[in-house]
Amino acid sequence: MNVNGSKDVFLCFPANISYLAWVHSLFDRVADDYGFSLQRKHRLLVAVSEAFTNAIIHGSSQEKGSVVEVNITSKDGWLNIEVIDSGHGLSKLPPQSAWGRVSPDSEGGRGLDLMRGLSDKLEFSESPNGGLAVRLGYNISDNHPGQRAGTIVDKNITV
Amino acid sequence: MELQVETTAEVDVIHVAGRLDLVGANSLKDIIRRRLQDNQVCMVLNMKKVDFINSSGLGALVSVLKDVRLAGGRLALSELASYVKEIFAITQLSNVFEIYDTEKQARTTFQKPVTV
Repeated sequence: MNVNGSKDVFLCFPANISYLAWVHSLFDRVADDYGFSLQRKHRLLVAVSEAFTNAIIHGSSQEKGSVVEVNITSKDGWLNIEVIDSGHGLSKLPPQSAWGRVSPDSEGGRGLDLMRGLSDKLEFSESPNGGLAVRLGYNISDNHPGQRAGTIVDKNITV
Repeated sequence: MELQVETTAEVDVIHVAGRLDLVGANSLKDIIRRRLQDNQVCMVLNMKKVDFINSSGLGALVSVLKDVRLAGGRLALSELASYVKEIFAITQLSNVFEIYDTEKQARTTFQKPVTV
């Protein structure tokens, strides 16, 4: 795991669902550090949980040593979270026309809708290693609803 | 996740607490399938103490709803926190499940009419 000094955090997890609890704890603290309201913190935690779970289930090979990168950066009033897997990139992503059309009795397929509904910005791209990079953005400017003004602090997360 | 079953003559009330995610999903499915095996097909899930739910938890709820309906029963949810309600709204599952503000309201819907 790599930690870069004060603000931005770059982590690398083994592609194993048992690390989801660890990721949850990390983002619980990130949400507090950035002054998220309880409702907004919950949105962040669920969206990150979906991105991380998808990266493991759909974006990781069964080979030993497969990893999921989690990058947390802030710039220009935005908190950006990037979850990068080692799968097949954009080719496995369902077309956007299929989103929000999950059959009511389907037991899966709601992760993308949740990520879209629970973030302020959602982007997908292909990472240099060919995996899928999911980018969740949260507006952290002081006047954004759900943001407690003046509570953004310098982050120094030790893992 | 913690599950506590309260049995009455007409309905089981299952109090769900903690995280309803990939891990909790299996516990919930197990307990509801055991109740169905015991021929208890009317259930209320009191979700008041659920502090986290994701798509895996939603998948488990859809799964048990199908099981209960297949057994000829009914499943209702009650006391969803606002952030849980939001998850149901985004995924449009609020149109699929019977959802009540209070456990009492949910239980009432299972009561048989009194005949005089």
